[in-house]
Amino acid sequence: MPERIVNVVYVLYAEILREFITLRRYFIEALSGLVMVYILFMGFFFAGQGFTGHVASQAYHSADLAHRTVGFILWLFALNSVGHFSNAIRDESNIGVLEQVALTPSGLIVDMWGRAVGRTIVDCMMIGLVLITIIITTGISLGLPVLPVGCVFILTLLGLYGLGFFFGGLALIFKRLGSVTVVVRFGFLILTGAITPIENFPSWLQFICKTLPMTEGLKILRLLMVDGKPFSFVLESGDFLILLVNSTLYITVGLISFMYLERIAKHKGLLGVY
Amino acid sequence: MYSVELRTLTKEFSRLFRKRSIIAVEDVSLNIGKGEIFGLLGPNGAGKTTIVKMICGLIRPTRGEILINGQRLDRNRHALTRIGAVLEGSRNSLWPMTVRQNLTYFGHLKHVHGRVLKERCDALLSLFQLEQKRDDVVRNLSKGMKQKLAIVLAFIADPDLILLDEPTLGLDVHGARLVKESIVRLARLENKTVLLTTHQLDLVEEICDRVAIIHKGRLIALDSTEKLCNDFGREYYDVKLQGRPDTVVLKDLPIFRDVEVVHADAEKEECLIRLVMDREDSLFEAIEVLRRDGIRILSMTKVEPKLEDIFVKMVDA
Repeated sequence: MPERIVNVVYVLYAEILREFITLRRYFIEALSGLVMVYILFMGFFFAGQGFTGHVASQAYHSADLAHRTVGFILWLFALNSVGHFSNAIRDESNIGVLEQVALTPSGLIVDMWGRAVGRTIVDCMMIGLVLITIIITTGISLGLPVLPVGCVFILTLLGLYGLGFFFGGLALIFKRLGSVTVVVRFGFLILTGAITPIENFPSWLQFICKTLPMTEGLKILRLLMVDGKPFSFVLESGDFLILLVNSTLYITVGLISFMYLERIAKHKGLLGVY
Repeated sequence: MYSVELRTLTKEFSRLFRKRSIIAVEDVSLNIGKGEIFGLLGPNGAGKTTIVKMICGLIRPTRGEILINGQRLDRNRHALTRIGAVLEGSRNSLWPMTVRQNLTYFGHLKHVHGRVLKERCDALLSLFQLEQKRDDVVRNLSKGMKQKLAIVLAFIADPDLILLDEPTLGLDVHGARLVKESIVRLARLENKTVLLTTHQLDLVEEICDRVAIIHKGRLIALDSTEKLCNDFGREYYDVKLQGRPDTVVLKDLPIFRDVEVVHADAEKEECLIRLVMDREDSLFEAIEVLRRDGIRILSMTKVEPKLEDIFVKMVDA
């Protein structure tokens, strides 16, 4: 294997290892986070039943809950991927590690890819645990055609990480973006259709919602996992193509803006500023 | 070929909504040879850190050129494998991880793997006396230990050029000596080039081959430590005399560039004067004058010029 690729693989390995070490070191915090997330979901679950105690037919309710579950779980991934880089950059500016990482031959961008992979693996474990708990406690059933779901999931994450790279780039300049990324991340809960159908929104808002990186992926995942549609259906309907274009645009714009903002940060001497 | 070449290096920081930019570094040109320990001195805000960060590519210069082993860093990123840096003392490491995990993490990021990484870790931990701490979480280490770890991390990829910003700041006497000795040993035995910025002038005086003094972004002196001391340092003698300063007639000592009463003890009828020499034989003339005036010399100490004096003198000028 060419040396260059070996080096990139080791960077990925280092970042994955680091994620696991951090997870182990702060296990109680991670576990309490999971419990909180589960409680939050159950809140949505009971909210779906309404204040009057009126419950729709069992079949309708079960499908509705399954839709919400897929939306909620994907949103949890979005929550981490959109803000992961900006949070890491803010924290590492504080502890003086950001400059050391920027000094490595692979550079910040390869390292950020490593973090994305590491974070995704840890998220898959942790969020997977939440999903299993939800399935057990609510009795919903979800289909899991591994290959199509995997493809759609990875493509959706790519788009989300595109946004993450953009915010990461901004964090190199402005350091603290906390409230901006929080607004965006929680906005996703509503605007991507995670807990409420975007079809209820005015048409102009629907248009905006459909351009967001998670919306199309979520729609396809629901078709595959809840409605039991085959992958060919998604391909023929053009939904997969829309997702492909959307995610490619987001990741491309995200990477370009990150590189540009890193250049500005180096020009202004802001990498080490905290 | 030099290890580092700076050619008319300039950095201006533009400010938002302001016409005038801040010139942090202006037309600095210097060369650092392979295996040299080079000191960069200057008061706070002089531009030392900006120069160091430009050398390792963390800040882009406005004008000028930087060559590392003859290669431009902006055209060859791989040259970064040849640079190690400690930029902010005890920071630079991941505190939730152990010493060994930090070494492995940064080793992989700097493209050192497998057996080579393991051997390098063992050697450095042994050299910096950190073997006993290898499995300790960094957060629990003392400031001195964290500082040493930061230096070890800078050496992990076996770089040719090490940039050290205040490497012994905050260390106890033993720790500072250990770090100092390790830097010198690595530089001499492994032919490493070390660029050191510090406020501890005695450290520079002790270990640096050459020194550059930076003030307000400009290079105001560049030479070997010894030559700077010889050329700019004032050689003087502290002379303890019998009698009070007003009774000790110093008017007969105009042969000296400067005569200063440092201390006078009225009870003991003693005073300490400092004679700044222009020529070596001035001392004999002074003794002759004092003897002629009947003034008893109690003691006489030659004071070697210090880099600190030169530094203060140059910056004040």
